[in-house]
Amino acid sequence: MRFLTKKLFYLISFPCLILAGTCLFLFFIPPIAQAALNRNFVINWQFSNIDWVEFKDNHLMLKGFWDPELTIPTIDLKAKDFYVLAIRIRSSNPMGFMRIRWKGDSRTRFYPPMEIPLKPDMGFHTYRFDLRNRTDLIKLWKGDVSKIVITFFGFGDTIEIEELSISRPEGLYEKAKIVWENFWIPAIITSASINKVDSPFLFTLPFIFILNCGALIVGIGIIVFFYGGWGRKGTPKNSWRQKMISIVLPLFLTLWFIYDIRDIYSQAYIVSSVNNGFRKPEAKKYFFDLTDFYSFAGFIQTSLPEGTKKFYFYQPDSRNLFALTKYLLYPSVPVPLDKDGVADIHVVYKNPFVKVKDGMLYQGLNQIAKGIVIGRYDEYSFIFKEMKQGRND
Amino acid sequence: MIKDILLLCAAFILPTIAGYLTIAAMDKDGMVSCIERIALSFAVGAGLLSFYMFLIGILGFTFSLAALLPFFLISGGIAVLLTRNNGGMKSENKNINTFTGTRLSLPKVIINFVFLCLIAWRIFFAIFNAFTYPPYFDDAVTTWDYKAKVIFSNKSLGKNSSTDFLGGGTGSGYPLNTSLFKVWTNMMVGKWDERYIHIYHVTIFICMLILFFISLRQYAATTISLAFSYILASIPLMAFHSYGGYADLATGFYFFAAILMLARWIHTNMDSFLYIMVILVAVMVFTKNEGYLIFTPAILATFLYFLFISGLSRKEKMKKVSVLVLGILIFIGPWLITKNIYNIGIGSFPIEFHKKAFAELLRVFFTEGSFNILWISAVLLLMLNPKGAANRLCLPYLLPTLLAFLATAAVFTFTVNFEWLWVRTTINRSLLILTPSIVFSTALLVLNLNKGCVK
Repeated sequence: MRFLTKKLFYLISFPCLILAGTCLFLFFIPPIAQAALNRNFVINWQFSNIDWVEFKDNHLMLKGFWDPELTIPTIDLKAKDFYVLAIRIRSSNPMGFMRIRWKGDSRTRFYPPMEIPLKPDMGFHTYRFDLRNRTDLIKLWKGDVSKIVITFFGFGDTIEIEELSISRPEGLYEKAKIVWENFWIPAIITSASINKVDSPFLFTLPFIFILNCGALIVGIGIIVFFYGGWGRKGTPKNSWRQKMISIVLPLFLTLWFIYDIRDIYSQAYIVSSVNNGFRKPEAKKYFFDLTDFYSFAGFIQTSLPEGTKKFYFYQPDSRNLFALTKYLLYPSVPVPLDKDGVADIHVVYKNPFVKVKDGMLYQGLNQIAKGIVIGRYDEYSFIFKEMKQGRND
Repeated sequence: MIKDILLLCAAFILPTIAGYLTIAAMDKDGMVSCIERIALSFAVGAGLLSFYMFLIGILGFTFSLAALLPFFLISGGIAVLLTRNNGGMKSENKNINTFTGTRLSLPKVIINFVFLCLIAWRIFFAIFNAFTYPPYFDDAVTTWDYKAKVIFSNKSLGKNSSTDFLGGGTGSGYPLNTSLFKVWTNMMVGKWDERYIHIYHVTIFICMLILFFISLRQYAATTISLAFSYILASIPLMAFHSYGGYADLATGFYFFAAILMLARWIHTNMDSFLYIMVILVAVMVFTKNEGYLIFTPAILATFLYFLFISGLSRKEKMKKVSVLVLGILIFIGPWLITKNIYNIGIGSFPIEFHKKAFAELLRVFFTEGSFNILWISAVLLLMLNPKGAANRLCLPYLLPTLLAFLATAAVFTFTVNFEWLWVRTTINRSLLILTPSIVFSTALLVLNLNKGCVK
């Protein structure tokens, strides 16, 4: 008996030791960095929509006008070998998010983006994404990747990047950690979020796809088992039907609940973001990708001259805030810039190309109108009142 | 602030009372239980109030509390007159919703508590966001909330030549039910306040959950009813619509409530259910255009089928059809006439077949997270119990749901609306309208298989 116990002990402990050793080995293999954040690399990066950028002490700091973007050339980056993008950043926007796109395999268009909300506490955080996570089961991270573009959504935010690398996780632990981290990345909120809820990813597949497959396999298995006759041998009809549904219902409910836990987490994240951004009793209230636009709209409401029916609206490029402005400022109506002479008020929001110099409003190099600034929200956001020549002379 | 809250409460309670009295007037035999009446009252009252506002608005009256007072006087007066001879609520219905007397085991108590907490989270999330979020989502800003703000600011439906006619926005042909109720809410408070306009959606969401639970509990045990109520409440896309300002959830509520009334009429042959259904269908048509294009035909087809197979005389059948069609037309007539006069229909949808639609629909059902595993589970449960689906208990719920589902899928497959499936906007919202009735039908399929779940 003692011999048997000893044998059993060795039998069990030997594979355990091998397993533990393998785990330890995998644990300590360092990831291979491809595009790390150092001066040699940063020199080749391109920046757009930014006010200024500074690289100091291996720290990249930039201030955006709107949606600042950095383009990273990744010559001959093998998608197969490197697929985890790690970025350690801090943003001044508690409700902002970043978007990652890439181009490769001689494609002219960028692949569909990956969007990740930034943590609302405005501190430094490391975000790691498995770029192979597939939308609609189509493999997009493939071949040679020539460019990676990271966009930080928001107006006038300051972004600090401490680390950036593209690597391949080595070891089971590292891989599991990436899968786990990516699974819990909450969905971003945009004005189109009400149309569709995206599934999180697990092992590069949409999580809902895995659950649906599970439900389908179990469901069909149960149908075959019971209707094929195996499950109902010797039992009356009502009894086996009852047994069948007693298995199916808790199983489906469990699968539903598993997805729901993740969904509740996403909702709790939204509540926490709103509490840290929009509900803070501060003058500038942040709201997801709109940053402080609602505060700006409030400022316009109180600063527009009484009786203003129409005004020209200059919004940041690549964004369409026209409909929202129309709603928020009704009965005052924003009019497109191509309609000449219908308004004498010009409202500018975060548009660095629209400036006032010597009493003249310029859009780029074009003179727009002569007049005065009657309200200033920030450096690039203000209300300008046009002074008609006849009246002033 | 306290004054605002009190006025806000009045803005919701007054239409609820009007709705309650209307249902009480229709339900001469006391067939609708007390909690069901309460759950239906707000939606019915709010819908009728919107009809009234539209009617006086289109006749050129400006909106003021004085102009709206007759609605409450008329509806209250008529209801009191009609309810005078009512026999009151049936004793068996009084007992439908009593929770005392049934002793639950400890595990069941714990499970029920967990389900209640999960549902409570959804309600909290909806309330929190309704009070916090500014108008943000696309169509809320361009259409639903925009119309309400324009009508509120102008205190009228506007002149037909102006851009503000019927609230303006991207679609002047969009029905006005939800927008007009938002106008009423802000009129009561006396100012336009963004924080108050989405409470309507939370209220509809809560009413839908109550109606769903109470209706299911008439067939099922408490735990099963709670489990399916949790499933309905936790549909991921539902979370956004419980506060987002769109009209899809409200349309879903009216469709589901109308099906409930239709099924009761089929099961009991009591006309009071038919009368309530008429109002619900009419309000549904006034909530979203899909109401009369997809959901009303689905309900009418089911009604006609069951009427056809019923043992009623031809004269009786004609009478019922007339009641239904005329009833709906009386309510919705002014809106349909207005649409016709000002040519603000939904536009034309040329028929064209899109082969890719099938693959896209499969992706929606299988790989996207808007509905959790609802579609696969529903299909599998249907496969597990095909006989149960054709059962007289289940069919009145399942048939209109299936017809509406097929019509929805057809719209995206055989018309230019494929575009909205491709970009995943309207498709998910159209499917959301069906979810309360799908979850309810699925629950009945389960009950049909396992008699142990039956109350």
